[in-house]
Amino acid sequence: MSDPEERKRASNTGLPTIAPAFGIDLRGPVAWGDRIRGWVREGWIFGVLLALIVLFSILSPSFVSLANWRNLSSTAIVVVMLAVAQTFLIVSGQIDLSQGGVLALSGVAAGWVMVYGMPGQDPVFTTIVGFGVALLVGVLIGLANGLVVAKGNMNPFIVTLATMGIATGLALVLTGGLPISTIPPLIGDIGRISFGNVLSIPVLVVIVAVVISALVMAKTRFGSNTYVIGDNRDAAERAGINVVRHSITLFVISSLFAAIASVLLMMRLSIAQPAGSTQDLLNAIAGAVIGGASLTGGRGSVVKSAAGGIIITVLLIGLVIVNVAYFWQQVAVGLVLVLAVYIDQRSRATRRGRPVSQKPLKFRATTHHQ
Amino acid sequence: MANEMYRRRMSRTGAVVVGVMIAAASLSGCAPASGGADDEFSIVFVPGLVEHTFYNTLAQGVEEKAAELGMSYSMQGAPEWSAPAQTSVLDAVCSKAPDAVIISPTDAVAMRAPIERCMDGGTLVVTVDTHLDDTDGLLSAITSDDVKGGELAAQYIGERLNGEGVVSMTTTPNVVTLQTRTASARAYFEKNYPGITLLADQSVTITDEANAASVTAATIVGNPEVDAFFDPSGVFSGVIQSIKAADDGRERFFVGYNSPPAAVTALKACEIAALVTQTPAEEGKLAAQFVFDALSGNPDAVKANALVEPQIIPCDKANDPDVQGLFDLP
Repeated sequence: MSDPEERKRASNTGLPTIAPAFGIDLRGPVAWGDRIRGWVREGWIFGVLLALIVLFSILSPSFVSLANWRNLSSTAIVVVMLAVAQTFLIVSGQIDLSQGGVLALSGVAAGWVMVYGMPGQDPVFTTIVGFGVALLVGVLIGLANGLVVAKGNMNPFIVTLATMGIATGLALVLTGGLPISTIPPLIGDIGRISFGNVLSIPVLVVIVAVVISALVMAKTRFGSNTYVIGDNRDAAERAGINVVRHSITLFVISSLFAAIASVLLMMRLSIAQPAGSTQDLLNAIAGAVIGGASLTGGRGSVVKSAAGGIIITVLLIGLVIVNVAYFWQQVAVGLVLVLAVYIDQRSRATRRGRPVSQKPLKFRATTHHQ
Repeated sequence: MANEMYRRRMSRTGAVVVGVMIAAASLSGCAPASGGADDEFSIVFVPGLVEHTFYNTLAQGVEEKAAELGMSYSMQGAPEWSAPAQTSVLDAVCSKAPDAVIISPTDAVAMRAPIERCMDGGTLVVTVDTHLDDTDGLLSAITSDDVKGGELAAQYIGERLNGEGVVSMTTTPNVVTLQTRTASARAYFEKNYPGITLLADQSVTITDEANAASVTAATIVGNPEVDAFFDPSGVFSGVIQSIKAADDGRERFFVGYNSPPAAVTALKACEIAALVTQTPAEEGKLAAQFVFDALSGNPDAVKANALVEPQIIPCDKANDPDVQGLFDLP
């Protein structure tokens, strides 16, 4: 996992994670010892993932099998998509609880239009329209969230909690609580296309989404502005960032990702289902937090959030494979979450001990955006 | 002309008024559908939620029996599974003092007070499908026998495996009916089929097929020797999809619960080996019969607690004409 975002963070040991977003290394040449310590500090999350995989492989050799990879990768799709999108908002100091509702509503809205809205049409055309409807629903809900939160200056927690309820409720009204199972078979067929029997189309879409998101956060003005807003909203405004417009965009991205996840879910299941979204949402937020995103804003990494989401998936699937009863699975996920936050806090406390760590705060507010 | 005026007024007053009118119309519909002839007993059915195949089927059972016995019938419900919403509907229904209300309470405790108000107004109340914790004063409480449902599934699986094999079951935490079904299946296996190994119960979220697909696939990966799956919560497509996807030359089968149209289609294609159906129409008919017995001076025929036995339909019998009535209506 050595994408540009991670490498930058690692090379900037001793600085808060915001510094790499500016693409400037304030410390100049770094000694190898410090560098390795930095990698450990920033990359321990991947170590945890690796350790879990090794552990489950020892407990059940079939954990390392093509069948398990297929199940793991297709199960992780939703939580990774949601965790990545959630990271944008968490980094900006906000949160989107409506993702789960969007996941349900955009999927069944698409299913409803495809099955009842356009009977007898060409399946390819129907599928394209269906996907369009799903994405449109996502964008509209994101826009609504963003406008109410940013323009109305309301708490995103409350606003998106309300949207979650509305979207989930509408999904149930639309379907009577039952999945729509007669969507075009073409959608399931697309989901089964797989390169070398390993990389299915939905998994590929998720990988592309993660890479693009990571690049946007690490390399673009948009990404650095997101960190700045999360770190100090007033400073961001003074620096000339259009915080309202930026927030609206972030909410649209979040909902759009959830809508894309609903399309990928349809490809996996060959049905549009109105349920299951609350747990996915909680797992996504937990994934982002395990990945080191700070709910108070200013900190977070798309790739690590994805890793956090994968850790949760590996745990849940792994515990089923080794035949552990379900109540222990919840306990295990909870323990990992607490442990991750603890380690993260500890490593940040160590960093704060270094004199250099205060520097970029001044630098950020005064130098870059004026 | 009247139409023209109506349309103009509608466009002026907008969505709020439409909403109020729909609400008013739905509440005024509580009166007996026939217009309430005095010599006719009136029944109102209040489902857990409207537009759900299970309750539509239950309603059809009530309606058929009511028609057969010469009682008037109507249905009033909320679009969501919620005690406050159901309370509003029930209060409105009972303000018209129908002879009897048949209701599927959305909450075993919260619905006691509105039902008590209704009984105080002189209306007989029968609960169907779900129930109240405190059944005092009810004419009858009719539920589907969840213990029997789990046993039927276990018996089918045990016989089909000839008493030898590995079985994986799912359940849903916090939902008592579902846990009862899984627990009774487990008890039946342990008592009658010592040669069958039961894996640890796994959890699925109700109607979450993605969750069911993941759990099923992981169970197969970890326990390739698994032969059969049982789920009491109503998921099916995720399970059968993962069974198909395993594709390791081993035959595995799935026994599900409830019979919405899509599950019946899968049953008829033998993708589902067998379905336990709760026969909602039978519950509805029994409720209407009890109401009639009580009102026509035959209270001894009424049972205060009645369990309607579920039935299991194996896929090779799914096309028999005499089982079609056990499935949910499309």
